[in-house]
Amino acid sequence: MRNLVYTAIAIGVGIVVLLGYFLQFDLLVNLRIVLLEWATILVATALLIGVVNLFIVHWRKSTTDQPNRVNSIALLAGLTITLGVAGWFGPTDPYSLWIFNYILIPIEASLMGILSVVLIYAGVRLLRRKPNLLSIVFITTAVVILLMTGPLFGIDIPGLAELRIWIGKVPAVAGARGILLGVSLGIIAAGLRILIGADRPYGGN
Amino acid sequence: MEKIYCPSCGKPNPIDNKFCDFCLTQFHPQEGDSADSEAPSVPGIGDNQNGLGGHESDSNVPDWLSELQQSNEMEDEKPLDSDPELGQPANAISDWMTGVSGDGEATVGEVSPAAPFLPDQGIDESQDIPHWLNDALIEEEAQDSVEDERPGEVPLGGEGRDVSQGDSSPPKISEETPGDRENAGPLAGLRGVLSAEAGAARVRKPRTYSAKLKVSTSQRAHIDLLNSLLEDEGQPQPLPQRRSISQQHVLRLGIALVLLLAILWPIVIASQEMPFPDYDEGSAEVNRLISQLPENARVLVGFDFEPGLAAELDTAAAPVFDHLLSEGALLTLISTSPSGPLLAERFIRSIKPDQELISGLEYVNLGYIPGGAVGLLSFIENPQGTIPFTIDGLSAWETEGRNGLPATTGISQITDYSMVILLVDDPDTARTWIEQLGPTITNPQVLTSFVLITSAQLEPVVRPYYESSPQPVNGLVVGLRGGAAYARIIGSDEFPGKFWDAFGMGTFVAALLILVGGLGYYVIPELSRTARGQEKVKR
Amino acid sequence: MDSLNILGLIFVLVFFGLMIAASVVLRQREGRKLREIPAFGRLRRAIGLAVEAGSRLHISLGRGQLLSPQSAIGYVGLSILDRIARSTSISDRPPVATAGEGSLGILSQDTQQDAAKYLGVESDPMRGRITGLTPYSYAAGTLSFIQEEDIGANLLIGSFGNEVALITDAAERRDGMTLGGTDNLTGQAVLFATAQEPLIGEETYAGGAYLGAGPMHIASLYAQDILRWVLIGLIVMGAILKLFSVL
Repeated sequence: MRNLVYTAIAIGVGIVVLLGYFLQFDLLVNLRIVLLEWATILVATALLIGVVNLFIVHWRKSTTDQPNRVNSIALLAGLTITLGVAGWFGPTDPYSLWIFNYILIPIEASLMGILSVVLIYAGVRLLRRKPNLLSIVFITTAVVILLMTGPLFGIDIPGLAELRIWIGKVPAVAGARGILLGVSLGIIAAGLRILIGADRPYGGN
Repeated sequence: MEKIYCPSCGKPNPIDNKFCDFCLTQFHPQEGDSADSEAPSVPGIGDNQNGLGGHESDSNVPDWLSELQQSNEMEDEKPLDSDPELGQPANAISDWMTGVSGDGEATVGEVSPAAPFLPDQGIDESQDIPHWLNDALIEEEAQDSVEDERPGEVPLGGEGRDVSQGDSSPPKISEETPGDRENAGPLAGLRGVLSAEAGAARVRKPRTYSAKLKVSTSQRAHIDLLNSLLEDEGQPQPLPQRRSISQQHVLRLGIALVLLLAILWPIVIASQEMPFPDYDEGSAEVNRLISQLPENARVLVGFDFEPGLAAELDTAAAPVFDHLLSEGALLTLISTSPSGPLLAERFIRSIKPDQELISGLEYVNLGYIPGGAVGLLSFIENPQGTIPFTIDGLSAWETEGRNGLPATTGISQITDYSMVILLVDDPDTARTWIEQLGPTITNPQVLTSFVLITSAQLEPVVRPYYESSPQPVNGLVVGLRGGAAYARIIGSDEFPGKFWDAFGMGTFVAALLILVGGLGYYVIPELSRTARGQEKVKR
Repeated sequence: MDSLNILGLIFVLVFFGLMIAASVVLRQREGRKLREIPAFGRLRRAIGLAVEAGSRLHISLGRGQLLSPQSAIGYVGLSILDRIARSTSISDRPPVATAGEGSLGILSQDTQQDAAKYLGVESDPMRGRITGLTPYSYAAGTLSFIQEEDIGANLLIGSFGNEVALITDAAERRDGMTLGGTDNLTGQAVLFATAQEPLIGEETYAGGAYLGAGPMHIASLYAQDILRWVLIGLIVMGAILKLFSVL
C-alpha cells in the first residue's frame, strides 16, 4: 500500500511539472513553480544529509580498528575545523578564505596534476590495449589538438593550425552533437519510465 | 505323416526333409530312427535315436549316451512324484555331490582340476545317472564355469587347458515330442514346453579376458598429469605477490618526471619567448561587447567551475575582468556549485591586489543557488525571490523603503543586466546555463549579451551555440589561448607570460609523450614477440 | 503557447506512445533480440564471479544532481544497482555503492535495503555511501575506497567528468575490471581511453534492458531506436534544404 502511494505521488508530481513546462496555463505554471521550489529545498537538504553521511562513515572508520583510519581522522578534523571557522567568522572572512586558498585549491590542483599524468599514461597505453582504427584516430586527434593549442615555440607548421580549427569546428562538434542527441533520447526514456511507474528509484519495487 | 524333429531348433519337419525348414540344419539319417521320433534331447541325455541329427551313425554316439537314453526312457515311465530323487532335489544334489566328490575330490562349487569339464567327460559311464541328474550336471557345469572363473585367473580345472578353445560344439538337445514332459531344468515335468532355439540353448564358455589393464605410454602420461592436477587442487596455492614496483609504476613516474621538468624549466629560467596568439574571433567579440557597455553597467557573473581548474580559468578571465572593471562595471556574483561563491570571492580579490574591491559597493556576492538547472531557472525567472540575501547576510535587492546595493540597483529580472558572463569548466553546466538563459537572451527586444569564459575542453560543446543563428552565446573566450589573445588585444601586461611558456612546453611534451611513448609501447613488444616467434620456428 | 513548447510536448507524447506500443508488440512476440554489447556480457560474468568467487562489486553512481538532466543516468545506475543487489546480496561480500551527491547516496541505500528485504537478508546502510560532495573530492574518496577494499569489478554508471580517470586508474592498479558509462562528453572521452569496457553515448541507458530490469526498458530501447532514425532523417533533410537555400 505504501509503495502504491509513493508511486502515485511520483507519477502525479511528474506529470504536473511536465505539463506545466509545456502548457502555459497559470494553474499548471504556478503549481510547477511551487513543486520545483519544494524540490530545490529538498535537494539542498540532501546536500546536508550528504555531509552527515560522510561524517558518519568516517566516524565509524576512525573509531573501529580499520586500515587507514588515520585518513578518516584527518578528514573529520578538517571538516570540523572548516565548519567551525566558516561558521563562526563567515565564508568570506580572510580566515575562511585562507583555508580555501592554501588547502583546498592546492589539493584540487594536485589532483588535476595527477589527472594529467594519468591521461597521458592512458594515451600511451591505448594503442596497445585497443589496437584498432578508433584508437589511432583518438591519439592522432589528441596530439594535433595538443600541439596546436599551445604556442609550439612560435613554429608555424603549415596546415596544422587550420587542421586544428577544422577538427574543433566540424568533426568534434558533429560527434558531440550526435552523442548529445542520443543521450537526450536516453534521458527522455528514463524520465518516461519513471513517469509511468516502470522504474521506481525511490524504492517502490 | 511321419515327422522328424530338428536337433537344433526342435521343430517338427517332414521326415523326407534333408534340411530343417526353420533353421536349415542338415539332417543326418540314423539307424534305428523310428517314425515316431522324439523331440531332440538335451545333449548327452535322453533319447537320441532320432533327434541327434548331427550324428551320422550310431557308431558316433557314445555308449554311455545310448545307455542314458535308455535309462531315460525307463525313468519317463515312472510317475514324477514317485521319483525319490525328484522329490528330494536337495538330497539328490547332495548325494550327487557326494558321489562326484568321491570320484574327483571336488566339493560343491569346485571342480577338480583333474575332473573333466565337458559333459560328455564328466560323468562316469558306469553310473546309472538319471536324466534329471544329467540335466543338473550340465547346468552345474555351466554355473561352475562362471563361478570358478575369477578375474585374472584361469578357470578352475582349466590349468593346462587351453582356454582359448571353448566348447565350440553345440550342446545336444534331447528330442521330445510336443506335449511330452520336459525332463530337465526348472521346467522339468511340465508339458508343452517350447524347446530352446538353437542360438539360445547354446552354452558356451565365455571368453576369458585378462583383468590387467593395458596402459599405453601416452595414457600413463595423461594419468600422471591428472593425478598431479588432482593433488594440486587440494593444496592451497600461495597468492602471487604484487610487485611493489612494476612496469606501470615506472612508466607513470617517468611520465610525471618528464612533464614536471618540461613545465618547471620555463618558470625557473623565467622564459618569455613564446609568442601570444595573433587573433581570436571569440575573444575579439567579447572585447567589442565590453567596450560598448555603458558607465556603471550591471553585470551578472556566474562562477561555475571546480577549484582544480581555478588556475586555467582565473588566468583566462583575468584580462577580461581587468577590462571590465576599467569600464566601471558593477558585478553580481553567483554560482550553482557549492564552492563557486568562494572561488568568486577569491578571484575578485585577486584581480586588483593593489585596489581592493569593496563587497556591497563594487560587487555583490549572492552565493550558491541549490537545485542545479531548476534553481537556475528559478533565479532567471525571479532573482529576488530565489536569492533575497547576499553571502554576507545583507539584503541584496532594493525594495520599497530600502535602497538596494549599487550592483543590484534597478535589477528586478535577469534581462535588466547589461551582460551575463559565465566562467565554466563543465559541458553540462555550460549547456544548462545556455538552455535556461538562451530563450531569454535570443529575444530581439532583449539587449543583454551572454559571454562565456570556458576551459579548453568545452570548445566543441559551446562553439555551435556561438556560431548559430540566433546566437544564444554572443562571445567566447576559450582557455589560456583565448585569455592570451584577449590580453594581446587590450595590450594588458596582466597576463602572466611566464605561464604561457610553461603551458606551451607542457602541451608540446605531452603530445610528444603520447605519440612516441604510444608507438614505442606498441611496436617494441610486437617486435620482440615476432623475434621470439621466429626463434621458435628456427628451433 | 510557444510553438516550440507544443513541438516538445508532441515529441514526448510520441515517445511515450512508441514505448507503450513496443511493449505490447514485444509481449506478443517471443525472443527479443538486442544487439550484442560486450561490456554487458562481461558485466554479467562479473556478477556471477561476485557470487561464486566472493569478490566484491562496486557501483559508483556519479555526481548528477537530481533536479538536472544528469539525474537520468543516475536513475539508470540505480536500476543496475537494484539488479546487481538482488543477484549478489546473498554472497558473503555484497556490493557497495558510492555516490558524489547527497540524494543519490540516499537512494542507493534505499535500493540496497529493498533488495535485501526482497532476499530476506540483513542490509547494512554503510553499503551505500557518499564519498565526496564536489567532483574531485568524490573521485579522491572513491579511489581511496577502491584501494582499501578488495574490489573485483567497478561499475561507473553515472554523471562523471574527467575526474573519472582517477577512479579508473585506481581500479586498474588493483587489477579490477572497470566498466564505465556517463552522459558527460569529457567523461566519455576519458572512459574510452582508461576503462576496460567503456559505454559510449546512449549504451549506458540500455543497461537496464541488458540486465533484465523489466520489459519496459526493452520497449524504451526500441522507441529510442525509432526516434533516432526519425531525427537522422530530419537532420539530413534539413541539411539538404539548407544546401538548396530553401531553409
